[in-house]
Amino acid sequence: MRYRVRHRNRYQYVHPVSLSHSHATLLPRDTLNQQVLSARLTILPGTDDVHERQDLFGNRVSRFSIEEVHTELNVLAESEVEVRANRVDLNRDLEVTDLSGIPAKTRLYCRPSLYVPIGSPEIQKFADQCFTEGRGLIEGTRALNEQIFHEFVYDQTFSDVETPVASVLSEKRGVCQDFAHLMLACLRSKGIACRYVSGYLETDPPAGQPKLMGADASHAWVSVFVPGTGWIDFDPTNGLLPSDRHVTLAWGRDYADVVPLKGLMTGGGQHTLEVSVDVTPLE
Amino acid sequence: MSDTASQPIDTAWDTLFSALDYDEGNQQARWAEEVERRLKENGLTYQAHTSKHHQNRQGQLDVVPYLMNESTFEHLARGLSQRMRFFEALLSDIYGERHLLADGSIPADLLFANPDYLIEAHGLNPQTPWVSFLAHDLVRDASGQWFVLGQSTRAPAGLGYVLERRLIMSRVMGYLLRRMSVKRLSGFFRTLRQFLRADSRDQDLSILLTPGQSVESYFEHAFLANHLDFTLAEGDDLTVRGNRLMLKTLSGLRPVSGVLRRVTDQDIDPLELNGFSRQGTPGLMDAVRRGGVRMANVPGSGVIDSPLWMGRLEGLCQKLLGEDLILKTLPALWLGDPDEHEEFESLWPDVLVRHASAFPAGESFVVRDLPDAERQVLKARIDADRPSWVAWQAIDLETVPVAEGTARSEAHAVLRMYTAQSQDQKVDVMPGGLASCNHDASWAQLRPNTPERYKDLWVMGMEPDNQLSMFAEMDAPTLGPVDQSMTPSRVADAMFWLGRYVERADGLTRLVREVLAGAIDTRTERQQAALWLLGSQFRTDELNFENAAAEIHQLVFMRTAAGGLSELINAIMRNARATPDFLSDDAWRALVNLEQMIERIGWMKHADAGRLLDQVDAILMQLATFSGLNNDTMSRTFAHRFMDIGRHLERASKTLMLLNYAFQSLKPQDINQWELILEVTDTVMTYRRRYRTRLHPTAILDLLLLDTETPRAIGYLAQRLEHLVQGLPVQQLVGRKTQLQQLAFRIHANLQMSQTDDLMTIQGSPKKPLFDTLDQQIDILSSLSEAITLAYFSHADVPQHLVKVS
Repeated sequence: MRYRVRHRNRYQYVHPVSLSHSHATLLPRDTLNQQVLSARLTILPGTDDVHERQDLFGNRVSRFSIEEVHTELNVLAESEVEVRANRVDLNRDLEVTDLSGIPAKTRLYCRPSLYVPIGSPEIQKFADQCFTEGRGLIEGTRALNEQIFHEFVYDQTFSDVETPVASVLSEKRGVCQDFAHLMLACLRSKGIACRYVSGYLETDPPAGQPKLMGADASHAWVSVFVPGTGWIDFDPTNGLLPSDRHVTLAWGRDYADVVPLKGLMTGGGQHTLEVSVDVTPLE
Repeated sequence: MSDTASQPIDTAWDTLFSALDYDEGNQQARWAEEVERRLKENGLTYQAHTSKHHQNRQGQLDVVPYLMNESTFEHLARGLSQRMRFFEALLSDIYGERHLLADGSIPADLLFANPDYLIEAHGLNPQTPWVSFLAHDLVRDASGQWFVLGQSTRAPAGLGYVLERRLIMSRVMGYLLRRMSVKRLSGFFRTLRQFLRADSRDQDLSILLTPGQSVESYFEHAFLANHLDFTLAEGDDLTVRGNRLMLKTLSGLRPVSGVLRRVTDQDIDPLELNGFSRQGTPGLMDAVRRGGVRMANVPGSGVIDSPLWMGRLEGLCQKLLGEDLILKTLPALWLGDPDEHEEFESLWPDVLVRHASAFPAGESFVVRDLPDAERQVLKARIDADRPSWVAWQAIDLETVPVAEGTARSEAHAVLRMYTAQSQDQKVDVMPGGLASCNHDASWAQLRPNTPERYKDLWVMGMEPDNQLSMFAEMDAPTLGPVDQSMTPSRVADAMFWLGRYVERADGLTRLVREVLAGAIDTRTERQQAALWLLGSQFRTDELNFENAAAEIHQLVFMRTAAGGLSELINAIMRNARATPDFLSDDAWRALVNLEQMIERIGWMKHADAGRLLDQVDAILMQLATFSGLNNDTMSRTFAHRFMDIGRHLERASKTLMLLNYAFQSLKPQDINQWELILEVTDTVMTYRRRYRTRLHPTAILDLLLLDTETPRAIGYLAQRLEHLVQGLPVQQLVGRKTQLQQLAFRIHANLQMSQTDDLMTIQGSPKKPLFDTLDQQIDILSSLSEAITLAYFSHADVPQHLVKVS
């Protein structure tokens, strides 16, 4: 599938901002089954101080600063990507205890991180319910993916960026980001290497298919490393395995590594943010 | 290798001991006392510098130094230099090609469990060495073998203390240092300075980046910055423009080319790194990445500080340099490795255990000393995350003599030594350092940073050094004019408010002295006058004169009193601490005393008026001492000028408000009240000399408003203000400077055009133009204060986060 993605961010400030520094992870990356045909960032007010680099995870990170006095900041990311369904053999499962095939660099994804703490008994218990005796890595992860989908309520009013996974687990509600973090915490408590993926869903589904949760904004899901096979994506918010309706933007240990847009400014006072995301198929 | 091989270390100890033992050991006791006294003196200054009171300042200083001969030093220096090379190679690989990770030389979990592993430093490829300064902790076991306990890139932690202690030692027993040819430290500091100054453009600055006055070591930062001639700056003093780091100064933004960093790796940039930290500057990480600023040490280098490496460095050095480490690391077990964990189990509980984080060192345990229950808790913590822990068996440390009165006992020592590396990777090892001593060998090697006491490390050269004197340790002075406009805006801001608050405290203290004296007077009219005066500052209509002292105490001196003295001293200290290197040591002592006096009077709620008055007098004297010291000893920098402006501005507005209050509420015959006006403005004598009449409101106005020679008269203050404002640095914002001068001129000019006849009737009653004039002057003063803030301090604005992230 080929998509056009438009991700618009609009900040409005009560007081003028005299200087702002921003850090954006808004341009999609290439992956094994995704090719970025074009991608660009448009910033208003315009600035010459924009540059891009690749971070440790291979994501495209843009940095820009604006020295002109402004009361509004617009950042528009536009791209065209081609996504193919990922064909992995889900039957080549292996035991959860046998994770010796994880390469050294990938072991970074086994460690706890800012939004993914491990070691809590509640999370351990929740994970154990899915990874029952005899279930393999893939099978257990699928069970976890479905359990979160069935047991948890998608509730945009419940959480914000700082809501800990412990509350998400005890209240059984949250948004895609919370479900992804919870799933990562469960997997990492089992020693499994897994990462947080930020991206998008097709906004309007093809005729006859249901609209997926999280389609109107940026979305988040999880990718799990299966030694011998590679990375397999899971979307606990929708209880499915992503195929060609998920567009990958970036990945990292958790949300903190892939925040779409963050910034610091001098002045400004209160501000409001409007975000809109449009993902349309091109064929 | 043995000490005696090349140099007679025993002879050196003999020389030292015979000097200490002179007069049956009393010499040693006297010197120890002298050392302690000097440390304590500095200690007072120390405490004043930090906003929290850190009770135990870095342990005491032993009068017996740690002696080392040149050949031992050279052996250590070779080893430390090699380690600098090794760490460069290690860091380049960790943040570059990652070969060591891929081939398993660095276990993945060991690296990723390290809290100082900075993924943002990946691919950084700095144009400078990763590590420019490094501190090593070294021990020697009982057989004479040297080991490295650990290293710290939080460079150069403790360097200021090294200097301070050496200065004290050489003041107390300078001739001994000379006689024993003790090597000087100044060469090392020159290397330090050159590193950050190297090929910088002429106008560029070097700064020492400090977390600020909330940290215990703040004084050390100030001390070191001063010594290196770097500007002491906090994250908020800086801003990133393009790829360059800029200091916000009185004359606008000035480029910074070198940063000596005392802020930890994670905290230098709230945009890219720890967003919760207030210590850094947004965009700084990227400025380093793009080569716009040189930073020592490079962010990410902190990864080598962790004790997790302890057991792995030997193998890594072989791999990277093809060499054996000259100085072995204390062999330790990394518990993330199953075999090593098994060995650890077999040693339990005879082990020392440390957590991955280099700081705080509190996460370290002598297992044998723990009660059973705590051992179990520790065990559980380790099992929950084994890769984050290391353990080793305590080694038998050498003992060194320490002074005890007129005799000596023994303790275990850990040496802290410093290395610096220049751009072309030439390594310099400081021929000196600190030895931390502890009677318990386990604690000595587990927490070298919190010893029972310190020793100065003396490296003895072959040749006597005859230049050693009180100032020998100091570098050659920087000659030529200093560009004062480099003063950070924040410092100028703090000096301005320091001036205002000191003056406000002085005014309040004077006022309350007269109120107290009046309130205990038996004459009703005196009491009424006191109440009237109190009303000029506090909303209070009545006073129980039976219990006046206690009521006034509650209003003014109580620690919690709004607008009271306690609030003012807090504001004074806060602003003083923001400007550490602009006040003299004596001025600091005066401030510390003042703080203590005000604290004391805060507790005296049951004291009678007499005792309160004594204390108030003492406070006034102390305020005068502080001001006098500043006038006498402070160089006439811009910083001083801002303080002066603050004082004059405050004094002028307070006098104007008092006059306004008086002329609104008094009649000519309220003699007692008029007299108090003269008392609080300290003009009784001047009035008598000048007017030789009984008190007359017209004469009082003439004196306090229009006179140009009395230091508390508006006429005089306006003149001074105009002069002070004219000397302020020229701004790029030319328009604002003009506005400032116009305001200062107007205050002065308004008075020159006023005549007493226009303002007062001959009977001593105010005419309307008087109040117009007073109001107008008060308005202009507050405009002037705002204009100064806008012109000079406004770019001290701090950045804030976009709270809502998309």
